[in-house]
Amino acid sequence: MKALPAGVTEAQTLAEDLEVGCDVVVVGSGPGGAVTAWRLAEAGLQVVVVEEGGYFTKERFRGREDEAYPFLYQDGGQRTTADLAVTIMQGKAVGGGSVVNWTTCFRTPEDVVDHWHQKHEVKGIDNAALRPSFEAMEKRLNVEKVPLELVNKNNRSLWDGCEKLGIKADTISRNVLGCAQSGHCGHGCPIDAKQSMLITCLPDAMRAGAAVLSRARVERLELEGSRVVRVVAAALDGFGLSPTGKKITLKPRFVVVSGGAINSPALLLRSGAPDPHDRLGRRTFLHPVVASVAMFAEKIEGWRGAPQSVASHQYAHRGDEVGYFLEVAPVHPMLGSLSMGGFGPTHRDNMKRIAHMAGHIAISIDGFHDDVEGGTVSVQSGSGAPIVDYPIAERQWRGFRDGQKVLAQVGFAAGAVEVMTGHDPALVLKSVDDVGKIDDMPWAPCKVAVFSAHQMGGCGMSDDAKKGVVRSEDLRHHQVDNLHVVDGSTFPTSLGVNPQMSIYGLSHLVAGRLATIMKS
Amino acid sequence: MQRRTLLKVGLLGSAVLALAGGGLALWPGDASVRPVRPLLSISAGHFPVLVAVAARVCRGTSAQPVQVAHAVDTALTFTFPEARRDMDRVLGLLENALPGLLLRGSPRPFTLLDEDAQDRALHAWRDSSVPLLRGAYHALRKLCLAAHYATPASWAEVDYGGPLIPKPDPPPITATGSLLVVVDATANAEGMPQ
Ligand SMILES: Cc1cc2nc3c(=O)[nH]c(=O)nc-3n(C[C@H](O)[C@H](O)[C@H](O)COP(=O)(O)OP(=O)(O)OC[C@H]3O[C@@H](n4cnc5c(N)ncnc54)[C@H](O)[C@@H]3O)c2cc1C
Ligand code: SF4
Repeated sequence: MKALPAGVTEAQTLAEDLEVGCDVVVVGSGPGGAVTAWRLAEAGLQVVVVEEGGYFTKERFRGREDEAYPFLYQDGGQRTTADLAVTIMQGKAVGGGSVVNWTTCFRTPEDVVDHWHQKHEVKGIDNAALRPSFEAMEKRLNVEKVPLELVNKNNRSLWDGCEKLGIKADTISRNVLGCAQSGHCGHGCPIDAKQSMLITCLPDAMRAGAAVLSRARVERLELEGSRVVRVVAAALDGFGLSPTGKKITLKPRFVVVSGGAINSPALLLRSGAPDPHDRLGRRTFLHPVVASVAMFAEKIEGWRGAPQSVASHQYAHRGDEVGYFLEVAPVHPMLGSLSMGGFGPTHRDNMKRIAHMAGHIAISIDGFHDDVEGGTVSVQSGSGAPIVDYPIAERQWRGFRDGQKVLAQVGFAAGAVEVMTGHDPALVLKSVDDVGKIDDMPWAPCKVAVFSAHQMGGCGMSDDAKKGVVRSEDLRHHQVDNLHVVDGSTFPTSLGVNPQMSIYGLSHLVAGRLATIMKS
Repeated sequence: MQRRTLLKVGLLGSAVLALAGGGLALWPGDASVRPVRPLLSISAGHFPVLVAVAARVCRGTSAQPVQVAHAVDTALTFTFPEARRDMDRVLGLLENALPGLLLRGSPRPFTLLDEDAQDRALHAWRDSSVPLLRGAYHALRKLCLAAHYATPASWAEVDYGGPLIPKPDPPPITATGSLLVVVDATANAEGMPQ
């Protein structure tokens, strides 16, 4: 058994099987894993991060959709729910989703943390404890509010529309330093301006002695009694497609699973982790998104500029109805093509106008109503790949419809000459007088395009073992003593804001506590 | 724990997919379109069906249906085996006579339909009351659209000027080589030669 050297080892280059001993194995190198690895390594623990994605650096980030989606996203960008109704965009790389995310930063809303306390028995995490961790992470990642002058036309149209309608909106904060406004955040930042985990907390961890093993997929954790005794991984080829045949066995004292929502519960399911109350994989939240295409006479060029810089939370709290918040999505040719229904000449004609198109989105807040319990993750019996069942409650469909109507009103208020819904065939609205027609559209799976870029839950935290997979204080598995889950999968509900800062803050706080536990 | 596979959604879904089985190909379709390189995900018999779908989806663009079909076949390698198998079955479902008769009222294989009838067949899936068929329609449609619009070949058509910060071609990815790019010492921070 050997120790891995600090820095990156690319598993596709391994010439022989590998057996590694260490204090802590961290599975996954996204926001949860990278922050945890950094804090634990700084505390003097021997940390090995195992990441399925490749070690891609800025030389390979060329702003091309045909390169980014296959290599930097789960399932090559083709992840969906089991019924194919929700397209799930989720990162896969050294740095996880932070490599491809759109840099929007919001702290967890305080009322959400309070709700967890009251409804989900989360007693070990509260707003006061999180605050210093948010401050520390915002400083480390250079999180700053976008000045209105830097807002691109895509975002500006949301701002203008909201302002005309009296809908409260604001510019957002971003984790960037020296951003060239290229618009390529979703493809990996070509100039390392985005303060992703790839260039911040992972190098910090490596400086403190951590090893990162890329292109290594953890197949399962092996348990004996109430402890994980081995972590078994397969080295993947450089494309990330097939195992090379080299086996990796890690024998740590502690395991931190940070594979992100969907992947973390899938790994625990594959490992046969105890689940006496059938909580594992349950309450998986997607912040499902409906999109509205607003066509303007002038050019918008939604592919250029910071992808997201304006948001409105006016409709986040709607009582008995499901809340949603408004943002925009960047409009690159491929992403834009998928947001519109139809095919052939109709679709082609719309694509010819894509430079004039703004992509307004309503992001639905799931997990706060009794009948909006999110989805369930299970695994394929053959490959072990995750399966996401996400039934959409009637109440959610109503929320999508209401969101689509508000987006259409915003589009016209901003000066759009036409607004299209995400239906197939699309409803094309010519003026604000047409907005009522949205009520008559079908709201059902695969009748309207629904996307997700924010996956949460599935290993929910609760101090009541009947309600959650991990307890809240240190995110330790209820039944497995040396197993912790630190990532977005631990949220008991969705958030109502973009999740990365919530994951940074929570991980920073919990990893500080873990350092004390693991060193003693 | 295994709950269900990608397209076997509910009993009706299972029954519908079962119809895609090769034994039910009562009426052979047009097999004249051949792959120009080895296929990675879909079966050779279903390649002409994918080409026919690509031709309808990308009609009016500069896309070459055979190239789009190959790009879709490659894209599917990035997903998991069960998804690849299910997409292959979906193509069988579109082509085979019996499901054609049951699901859109015509036993004629998709590849033998005229263009308008092919569009109607796709629309029948789009408008179907069976969610599985609606999902399959969107999966095929999106795979073909993505295959075309992700590539530089589409950029001029849609007035997209390309990436803001152009970069030199990195070395190709290989099975066992490092992904790291050794940067030319004479290049500037953006990787452009000075
Ligand atoms: C296109 C896009 C845009 C987004 N924009 C924003 C935004 O603007 N603001 C925001 O707040 N959030 C945004 N998000 C979401 C945000 O990036 C994620 O919520 C966040 O990255 C989740 O962090 P995580 O640590 O939970 O998991 P991830 O970031 O998903 O990291 C998990 C990592 O673990 C690896 N892994 C999983 N299983 C295994 C295994 N078995 N073996 C080895 N490795 C494994 C994965 O490959 C992955 O790299 C966006 C996401 C996407 C996809
Ligand atoms: S918009 Fe800024 S942060 Fe995003 S990829 Fe471009 S330069 Fe990087």
